[in-house]
Amino acid sequence: MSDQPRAGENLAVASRAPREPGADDQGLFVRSRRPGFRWLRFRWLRFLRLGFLRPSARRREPAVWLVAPGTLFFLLIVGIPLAIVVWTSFLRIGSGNIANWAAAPFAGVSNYSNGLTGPNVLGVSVLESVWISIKFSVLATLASTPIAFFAALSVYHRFRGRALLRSIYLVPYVIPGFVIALLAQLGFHDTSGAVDRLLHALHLAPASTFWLIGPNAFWAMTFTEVWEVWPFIYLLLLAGLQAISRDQLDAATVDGAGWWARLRYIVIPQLKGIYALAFALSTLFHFGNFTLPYIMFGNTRPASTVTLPINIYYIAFNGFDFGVASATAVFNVLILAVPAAVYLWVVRVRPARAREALTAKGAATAKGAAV
Amino acid sequence: MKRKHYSDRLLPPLVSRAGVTALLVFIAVPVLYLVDLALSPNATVALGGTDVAHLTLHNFADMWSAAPIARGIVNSVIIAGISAALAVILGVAAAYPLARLSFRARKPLLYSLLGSQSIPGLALLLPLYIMLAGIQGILGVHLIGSFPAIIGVYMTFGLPLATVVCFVYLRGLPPDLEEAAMVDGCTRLGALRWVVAPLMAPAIVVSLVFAFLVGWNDVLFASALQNQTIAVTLEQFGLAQSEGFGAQPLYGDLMAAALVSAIPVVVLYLAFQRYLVHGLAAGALTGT
Repeated sequence: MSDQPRAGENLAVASRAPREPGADDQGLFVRSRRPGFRWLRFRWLRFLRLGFLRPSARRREPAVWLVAPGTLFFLLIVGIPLAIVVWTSFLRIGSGNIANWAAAPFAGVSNYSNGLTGPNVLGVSVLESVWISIKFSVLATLASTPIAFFAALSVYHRFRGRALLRSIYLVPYVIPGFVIALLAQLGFHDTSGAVDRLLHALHLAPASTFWLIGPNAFWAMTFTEVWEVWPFIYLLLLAGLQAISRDQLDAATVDGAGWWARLRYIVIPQLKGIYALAFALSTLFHFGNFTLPYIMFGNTRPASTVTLPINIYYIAFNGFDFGVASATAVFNVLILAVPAAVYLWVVRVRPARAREALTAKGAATAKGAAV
Repeated sequence: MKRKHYSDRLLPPLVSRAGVTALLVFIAVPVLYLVDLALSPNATVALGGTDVAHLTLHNFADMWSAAPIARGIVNSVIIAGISAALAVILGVAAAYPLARLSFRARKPLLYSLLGSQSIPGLALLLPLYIMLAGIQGILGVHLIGSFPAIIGVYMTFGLPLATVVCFVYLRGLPPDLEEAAMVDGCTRLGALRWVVAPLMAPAIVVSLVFAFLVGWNDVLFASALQNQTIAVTLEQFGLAQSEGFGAQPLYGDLMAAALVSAIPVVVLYLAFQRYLVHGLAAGALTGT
């Protein structure tokens, strides 16, 4: 492409190799064609020139501005609210002053100190909810793992009907969460629900076992979540499996390795990385699931199923205590920041992981994870 | 020389078959239960509803008058459809510079797209709600419960996804084609419109489907911002049935409506499954 001298100038921008950042920082300011901005040659005022959007190639590239509308909306709906929620977590906002929240009295850290431990609308403190959420998300991820692992292994080799089987595996994942939650509510209904009838027919439980109230509700919720979301880990593990070299597996077969040896010494070691990613993302995803507990226990709302999102929702929209709800939401962000930081760090140190992460993000967002 | 073909099974056939059968039963039973409930009369469903001999399509006719299902579906199609279309347009626009140009904000933007994964929905819902309530108070316009507000929210949630899908896809496309167009005198925007965008059709369709599902499946934002989407309509319908003491609960109608709202989603997903699993996962892993 370099034998096109006129276009070469342009193509330098298009070249996919990232250029050395800051290689020609000085140039822009020296050759500024706008005299009105001459005073901006002071280095510390550079940010006013929106230099962060400037292409690092010599020629200005207006196409860079294509990111602007998306970035603007992202800031408006994600960035600014995140800043506001930190601010309102220090204010005393009740049902009376929601519309005029900017003028709400300052509450100091009392939203955090009282709000996190004190009783609230549902009678479950925030710290108890955090524990319920952690149990729920980690257990659901752990229980999904063997199912997902087996499913991925079972559709790796070529056979007639493989595409169909792969589609069927996705069915629980693609049914909308609110439909599954409504179905689970009926299925776990005492006496008349399918679960009680099945367990009674098998003489495993009395005819009327309560799943929608009391401590059993937690297990009903976790079971439903596992049924619904195990294909997420399956998708990632299958992607990881397909990245394993077939030559390596063939070579092992030639050397006499059986299925267990291939699994143990070739497949599992190479799936470890992507499984770690799947574990982190799946746990994050379960942690934020609002739809299932909200709809499944719509009118019973047992204490054992008050996960953190449910608790925050009720503090805000039933108790109308937006200050405490904001403090709890900030607390939620901080809890999730730990796995998120680890996840971003993994993506940074291993660029190959970034693509897997992007895939996973696609799969999770499509399911209805909030952001 | 032809390569010898070795068995590529990762599991012994017997284990594989037994396990797959068990897994299929595990998947099928709840799905069949849903279909069975949707096809059973309300009275049967209230008692457990596994009477396969008396299945009927009555629920699919009755459900429209039992709850405002039609309004919910229309609202959901409008809200999710418009927000998906906007998200994809903005997503393609944002993905192009991120994939092809280098500028200082590139890395921070990519990391915030990834980092936004872990922001809990409620940490955005609360401030958005009071922001909208505040603006309502100042301007005297109705925002909570209005279409523009919820469309803006869903659009922004579909945006990172659309950007990411298009970004990954663009990284896999050779830049030679658009460079050739620019050598021939096309501007970069012209090349994006006439050369790159048609090539990106699969990525655009996939992001459109996914962004649509964000709005279709969401319950949290729709119920807090008081929008009668199909998800919220069914949630309230279900709540009314389980709270209606004495009256015959219309669970059959509820399940029929749930099935109707699930089928288009399942069909959409399965139709684009190849792109989802193969294109996104495998392609993204092995490509570039």
